[in-house]
Amino acid sequence: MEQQLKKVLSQLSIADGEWVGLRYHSENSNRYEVRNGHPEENSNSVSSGVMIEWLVDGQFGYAATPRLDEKSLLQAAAQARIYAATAARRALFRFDKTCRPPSRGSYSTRVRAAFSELPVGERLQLLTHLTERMKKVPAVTTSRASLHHVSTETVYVSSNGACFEQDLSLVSVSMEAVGEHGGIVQKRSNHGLSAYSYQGGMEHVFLEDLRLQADKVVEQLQELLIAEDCPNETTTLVLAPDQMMLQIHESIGHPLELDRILGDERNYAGSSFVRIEDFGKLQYGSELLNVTFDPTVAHEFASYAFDDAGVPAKREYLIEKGVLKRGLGSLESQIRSKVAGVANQRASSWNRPPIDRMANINVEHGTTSFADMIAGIERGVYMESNRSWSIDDYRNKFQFGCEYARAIENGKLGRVLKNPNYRGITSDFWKKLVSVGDPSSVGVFGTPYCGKGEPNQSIRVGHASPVCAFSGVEVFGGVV
Amino acid sequence: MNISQSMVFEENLQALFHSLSEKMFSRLKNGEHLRLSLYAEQTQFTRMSGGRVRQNGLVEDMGLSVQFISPKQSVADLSVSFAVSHDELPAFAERLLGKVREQAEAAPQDPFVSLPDVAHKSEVRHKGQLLSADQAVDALSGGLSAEDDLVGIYAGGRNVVAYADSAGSNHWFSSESFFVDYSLWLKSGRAVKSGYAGRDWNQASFLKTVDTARENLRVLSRPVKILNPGHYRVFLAPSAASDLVHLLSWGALSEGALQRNDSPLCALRRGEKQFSPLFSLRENYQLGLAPRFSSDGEFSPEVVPLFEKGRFVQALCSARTAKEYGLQGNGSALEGLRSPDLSVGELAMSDCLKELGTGLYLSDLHYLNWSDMMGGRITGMTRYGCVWVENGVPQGPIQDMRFDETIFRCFGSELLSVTREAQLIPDTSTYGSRSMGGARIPGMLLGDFKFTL
Repeated sequence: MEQQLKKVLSQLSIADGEWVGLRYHSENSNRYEVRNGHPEENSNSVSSGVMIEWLVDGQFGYAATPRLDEKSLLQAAAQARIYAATAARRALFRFDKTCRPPSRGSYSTRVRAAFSELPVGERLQLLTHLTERMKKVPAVTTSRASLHHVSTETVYVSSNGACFEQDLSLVSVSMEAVGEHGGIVQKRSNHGLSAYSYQGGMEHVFLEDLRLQADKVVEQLQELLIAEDCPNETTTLVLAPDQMMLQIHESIGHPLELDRILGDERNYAGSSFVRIEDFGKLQYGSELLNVTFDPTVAHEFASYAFDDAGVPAKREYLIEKGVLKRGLGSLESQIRSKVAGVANQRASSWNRPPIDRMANINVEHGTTSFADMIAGIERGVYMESNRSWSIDDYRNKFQFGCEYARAIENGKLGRVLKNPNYRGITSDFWKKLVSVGDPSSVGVFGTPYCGKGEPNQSIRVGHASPVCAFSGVEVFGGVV
Repeated sequence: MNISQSMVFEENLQALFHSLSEKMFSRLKNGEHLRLSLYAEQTQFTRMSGGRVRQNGLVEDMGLSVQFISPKQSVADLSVSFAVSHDELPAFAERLLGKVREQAEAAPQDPFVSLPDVAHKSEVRHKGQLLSADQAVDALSGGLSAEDDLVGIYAGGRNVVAYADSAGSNHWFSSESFFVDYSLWLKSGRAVKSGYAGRDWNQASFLKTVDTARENLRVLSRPVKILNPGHYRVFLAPSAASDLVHLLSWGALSEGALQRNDSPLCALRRGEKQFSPLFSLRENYQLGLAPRFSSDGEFSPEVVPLFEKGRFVQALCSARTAKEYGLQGNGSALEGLRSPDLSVGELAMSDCLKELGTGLYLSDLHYLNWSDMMGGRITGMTRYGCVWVENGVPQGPIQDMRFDETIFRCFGSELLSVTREAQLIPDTSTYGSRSMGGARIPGMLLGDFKFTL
């Protein structure tokens, strides 16, 4: 494909000051789902195409096509130039080609065991086994297991010499059990909606490990079915890494996106309470809060070497000792805002232009062991695995719910609590961070479903975090 | 892109799809079944920020989905690009068939798969007068003043969906349409949400929506009213009411979920909870916004009553769920709303503030989610032009508030009246591809609505 793209590029008449980039993207997705021992899905999806961007008079225009022949790509390139030229008359900002650096290189996911080593029949057998194992428990009314593998190939060439290729291998495994007892219905999953998502291969699909996860799901489901509701009170809240994932995503990741702060997302995903002048000054959280943008963690879901504008990706601190340092902004957003950013101009596929996104956004570990953290809390609630999420369009007033909770009483984990929820205000919540777990408490998770942009784009992100404790948080239970 | 190019695009596509269908169906062996569905679009996306163009481009896409059912009733689904030529078609058909046969061979029997067995046919084409690439940018920004901070997106072009199966069903639906989904902003951060959608662009009509938005911004320039959490009387404008109704698609109105006792509407079906006699909801394909057939080939009745005067008539039921539980399906492959139509009531829209009296006029809601799904509790935020009203007179914008309420109170005990007028609200989702469909929703007056933050 690289040769085909270069051949097309060589035939274009690109004027001085103009720039052209061609990004081929192909995604091959295999998805399997089993419910109560019966197959629900056995699908393969392949989507390939080329996004062509053309810079004319400081404005990028684009055209995307699934037709990969030379003639169609040349036609698409001509369209991209027309769309750039017409928009340039009323452009929001005049960019130049420095927004598309001439990066060269390659990146591939580190795969220890190729996904293809497991035949299709055995993939479905594995899921059947897991659902039947969960369904053996009488209280379980529905058991589900799914396996999703995606391999992507991206080839990028540009008129100023960029040339790179990235090949990713992504795996997600989800398990869920629904149970009923005495009119009470509860659900439990392995870490919440699609959170068990990683780059890699079959090393994330070890049967013994998945069996343990399935057993834990039904064991905790049974506990929930006879549990009391989470109390309504203001108390110390301890969040497991699989809920910290959501907390980071919604109340750190999104508000730090520079395109939101610049106003581009106001009509859809929303704006941010963070202002341009806050960078370098704003005390975002307590001094224990350290947050990085880190696309270099090999098995985390959103690792890469270059973003979709060709910017080399590297680890950067977004928040250090609680102070806001850097935004999640592409070179385009950095030029407009004059705020330092990261390599995060990403597109969901070949048919969407790249915009400011999260990738891996991680809370750095502290020094407190989980046992010591709990031992230091007289009264509180410990929550695991997200099940409900909602936050305002400025990313301030949030309310999140979890699948599973335990009461913390006199320094010990006690009763199981069902329907746990909590709410707060971002700018206040992170200042209540009173304890950060040590490396042994860190969990790495991800999600394929981060939505944003006009036109809409759903993209993969990763979040790693230790267990964290927050003081004085409003927690509550379900409907009475 | 212009209209004549777009028509050629559709004609070529239809010829290719019919030819592929014939080739693949003729190669099936005894006991094999096949469903083919096509999606294609040519869409211009013009993204605006600050009344200027942020991004501008064209997306052409065409994809084919194949569902193969083997004689042993194992199933394989395959989706591929449909960017092929007539010359490539024979080999393409052969390759697809070989691949799905192999994929299905590896799978166990699926006891709940529905077989294509009825030959439905339909053909609907909606023509439009759309803006050319050159015209769109000027049309969007031409009538704006330097003070108009317009943010949003224009999406316009042709969408095609089609379906054919080995039982002889054949459907074609195409639509030339556009929408502008936008908001107009004050420097204070207050905004009015607006939009313009249709099949024939009319510049004066678009600019009229902008004028109305400018007018509505005036009340938002007044001082912000900060409210304490608590209980308030509210009027939900059609857009806000639509958000509440659409959450029923998220696991509630699914017959499969109800059968598995996994829906908040279980309590309604058991008779433990009630909706108000003012609440009547149906799927209504007579609105012409969405095709009656789904990508699985399920063909819905033109009207599917869901709630009648508060009574739960039926849920959305796919052929798969119908087979599993021995029910009659109603053509809803995904068991979610595609063309909801909420019945109007007797409150004149012009009287909504007077009837509200003192309380909150909620123009828009944001980020709704179940906070206790089995309890039917929803949380979400107010957004855009929500205002505090005293004695029927708008006082000024509110600081955005979080609510946490149950559907049984919103559509039941607290529903006081429904407006006489309903609004057509197009589906503006563009995840993966541009959506079709929409909703017709009136406004709703609620006696009590709980805000928590």
